[in-house]
Amino acid sequence: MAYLTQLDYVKYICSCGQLKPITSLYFCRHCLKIRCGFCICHEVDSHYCANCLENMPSSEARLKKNRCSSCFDCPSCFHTLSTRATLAQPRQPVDPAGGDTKVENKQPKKMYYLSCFNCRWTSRDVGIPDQPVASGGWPERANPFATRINQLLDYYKAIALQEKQEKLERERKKFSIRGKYITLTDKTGLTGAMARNIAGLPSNEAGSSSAIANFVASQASEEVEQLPDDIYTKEVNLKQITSMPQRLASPEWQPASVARLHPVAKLLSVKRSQRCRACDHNLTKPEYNPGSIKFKIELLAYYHVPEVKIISHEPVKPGEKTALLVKLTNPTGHEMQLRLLQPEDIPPVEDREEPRSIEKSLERSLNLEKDASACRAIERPPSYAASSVVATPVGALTLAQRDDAAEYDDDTQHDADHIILWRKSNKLALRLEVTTDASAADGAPASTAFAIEYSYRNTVPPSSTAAHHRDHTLYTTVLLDLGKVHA
Amino acid sequence: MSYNIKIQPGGTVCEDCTLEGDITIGGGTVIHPRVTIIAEGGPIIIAEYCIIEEYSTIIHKKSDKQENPPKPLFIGAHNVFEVGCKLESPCGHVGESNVFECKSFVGVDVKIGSGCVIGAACQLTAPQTLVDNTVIWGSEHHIREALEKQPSQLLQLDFLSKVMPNYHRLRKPNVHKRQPSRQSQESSPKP
Amino acid sequence: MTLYEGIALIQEKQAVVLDLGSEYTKFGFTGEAAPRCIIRSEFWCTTERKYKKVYDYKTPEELYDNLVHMLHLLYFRHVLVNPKERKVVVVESLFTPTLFRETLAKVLFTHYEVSGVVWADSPRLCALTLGAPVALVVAVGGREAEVAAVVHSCVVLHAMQTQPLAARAIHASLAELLDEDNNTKLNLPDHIIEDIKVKTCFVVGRERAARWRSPSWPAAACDVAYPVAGRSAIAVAGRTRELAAEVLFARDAELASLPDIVLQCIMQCPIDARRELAANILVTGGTATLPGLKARLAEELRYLITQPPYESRLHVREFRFHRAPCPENACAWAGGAVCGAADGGAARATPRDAYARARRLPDWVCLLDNTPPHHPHRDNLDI
Repeated sequence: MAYLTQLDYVKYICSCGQLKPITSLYFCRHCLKIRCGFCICHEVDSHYCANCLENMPSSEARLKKNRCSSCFDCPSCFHTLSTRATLAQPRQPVDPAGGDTKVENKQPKKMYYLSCFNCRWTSRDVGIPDQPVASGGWPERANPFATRINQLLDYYKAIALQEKQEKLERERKKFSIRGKYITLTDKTGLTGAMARNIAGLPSNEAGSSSAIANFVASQASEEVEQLPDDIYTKEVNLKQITSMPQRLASPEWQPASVARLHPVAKLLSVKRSQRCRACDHNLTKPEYNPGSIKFKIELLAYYHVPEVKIISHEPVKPGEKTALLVKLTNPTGHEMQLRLLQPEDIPPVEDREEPRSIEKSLERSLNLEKDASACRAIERPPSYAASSVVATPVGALTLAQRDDAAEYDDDTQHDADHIILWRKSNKLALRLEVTTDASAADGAPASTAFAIEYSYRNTVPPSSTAAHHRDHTLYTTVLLDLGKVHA
Repeated sequence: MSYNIKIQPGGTVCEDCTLEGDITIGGGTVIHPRVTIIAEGGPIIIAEYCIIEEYSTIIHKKSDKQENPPKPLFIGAHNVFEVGCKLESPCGHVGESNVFECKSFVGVDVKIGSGCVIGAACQLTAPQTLVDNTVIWGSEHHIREALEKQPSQLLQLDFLSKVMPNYHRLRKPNVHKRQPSRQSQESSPKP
Repeated sequence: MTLYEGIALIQEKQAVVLDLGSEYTKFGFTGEAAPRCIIRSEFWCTTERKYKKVYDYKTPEELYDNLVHMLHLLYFRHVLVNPKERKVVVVESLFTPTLFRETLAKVLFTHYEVSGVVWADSPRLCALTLGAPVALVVAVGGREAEVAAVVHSCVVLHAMQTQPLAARAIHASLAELLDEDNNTKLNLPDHIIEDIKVKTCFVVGRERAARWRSPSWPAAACDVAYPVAGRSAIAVAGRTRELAAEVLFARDAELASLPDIVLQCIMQCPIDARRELAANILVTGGTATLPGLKARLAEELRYLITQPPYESRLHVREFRFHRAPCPENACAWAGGAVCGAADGGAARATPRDAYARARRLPDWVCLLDNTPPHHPHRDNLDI
């Protein structure tokens, strides 16, 4: 819960330079790098309705304009509408003669209407008749401009087609003139189309030109909409006029009056899968079923990168040393060797691209799909200002693997170490010392950064081509928020 | 303060609630436990078929410019006071078929018509008049006008007046009205 | 059957049309009659924990981040398609800052890996929705009013006019008037000001506006009490309702009011197009939906043309107005949707590989793009 509700006190530096808490980071097992939502590629996986949890294939979703066919949103407050049933007495046909009225149709019939539990809007408010079936069947409105837009589309498509054909024609002509061999038409000096042109006959592309010929351009008029006459005298009823969000909820109609608000078919939601830009492997892939919150692939940094949490720290004072207690956790199933470093001590990543031959790099630059420059463009140097420096212990620390059973035994080991406070299965508490710059101003945000060097065992099954390393030494930089500087 | 609580026949009033001052509760009205109704500024009259849910508070506030004898606070029929709502009124008149949703607050100098809905957690503090069928909702106090009054909760009332006596001690109706035979039927709470 | 209409089963993925306005963003598919969504140009910023406007930026990086977040919102919350390998029609103003264009291109091509972008300017797209060869497009949007003459699908660039006379100006003036009405500094948030404007304000006629300026005021329209959460209702006087939008028509020595810039635009156009332009005016943009705005503009134009400096220099007497086949606020978008569908977006798009090679966009203000082929300076340019 703390991750959801509290501020992010501990931030990791993603490989793209963004500062993010560990819960919003991913770890690519193939590149062995931390990735975040900013530097990975999001993809739409499946469409579903968040209200009825109904799955919709993407082709169907496209046909239905990404709207659920059975759920509606309130046009007034955008809450989901619920269907309510009433018993309606079928209207007695009023017979002026007073003769026989239909007796057999007298049972009350179940009728349904839509109602909002939040703002109490109902479909009856705007005069939508109750429906005899619980789902669907609600009247749909046509876009008033659809026909004109379609005319425009036909017109411009025809023009585009004509343009294309003319271009082709020109090219053919150019070719035929430049051509070595005298063709039959060249002997006469006329092409069929040219002959038609000269004769003033319509060209043979009658299909496209009819759309052009029949098109009527918009006619301008002298008249413009005038203010209604009663605008100076009429009392304004604010409740009858829609607000901007209400209007824009249905972009086709944008009703100005509350009486014209219609239920809005609910917008679908999507499940997204995420992909590493550098190696195109999936980082997360959700299960297809909309009701499931599980993932088929879930490469979260939380499961692969040692986690740092602040236990407590003394108030940060300029020019003084402050104690800082942090907890390190090894989330992996393998023992982990850790070393704390200064962020600037991280060895620069050797560029594996370098030794490749020129042909290879040329091939890469031509093949834009895999162009690394694209993902490098997203990267940027991390921007953070650490006011304090952590005194990093020299030795390496060992963190045991995660063991779910170890949760149950309670013996905390107190190592006789001045740095390690305690140890408990895969967790470790460290006592660190933070030196703050003497020039730090009172009230300025206090923060410190350190790097972690950790051993990581790759569990990806080795591919046949590449030489496979199982154990890696990886680095990550962590930024700790230590509140404010107290002078 | 004089304690003068009149419960008309058919009213279901739990014993575990604070009723102070001159209060009249109409027949068919259900008052849940832990309700506070304080008539310090003048009498409170609650009409028939209201539902007043747990932890709601209705106070008839004392005010300086009060007339003598004080005007009663009249709460019309079919009002629903949902859990934790608060109504403060020095000389108010609350119409019929209103809904005061959970944790709503209606301050002094708010006049409420009929068929209004005060949305959950809406705080009406400024002096204003709600015309009939006004619906207020959301933290921004969006306002709209409903076409018709809120439907009355007769089914719920029926259910509550049947179930309440099984689980709570009730105050007995103490006003005897025209139909003594019906009253004797309804006023005997089941143990 | 409205849900099923307008779906062209084309092999190529349907392109999307993006109109990133300063206040509202319109986003949807080409070939459709209306955008899928019109939302505020803002997103929830997790680091600052507030809604952040796309146009609030200080550094290019910040703008890049803003655009990434905004497009993420549009693609994955509203339109629900993969941005990858899909073309985009970007509806842009001709006055878009170069930094903004370049950053948007970078975001689209490198971050979202779209396959191509059609950069289309809004005046021409608006004219496209009419099908008329000549149109004078008066776009009154969020920040600025822009007047551009489109003659045979060419924008008369040197005649373009722009003034900060749009929704922002109205909001500022309305806020001031409201402070007067209530005798306090209200400091209302923007969305409430907008709501008051939308629900109560209108544009009065020319004569009435003149009477408001004279000592004898006309009988004002009805006052409105606008309820606000947590405080007493805000008084909106009738005068405020009538005069809030007057700022668009306020004339001074600089002749920079909305009707003035329309006339100046016509005046700077080639002489043979002026009459046609005046007879083909299209008023678009969200602010154009304000009741009475078009009527007032027409009235002002017809009056000002009889006044100096226009009466001697501009010999047009007839002003005619078009009605676009779409809501005013989505007019440029609709043009983009038509344009993108008509030529499949293929012919005029900047493909990704071209962008990857050049890393720049053609721009009408750039000498690289607008130097004529036989110009002596052209040899000095690195083309």
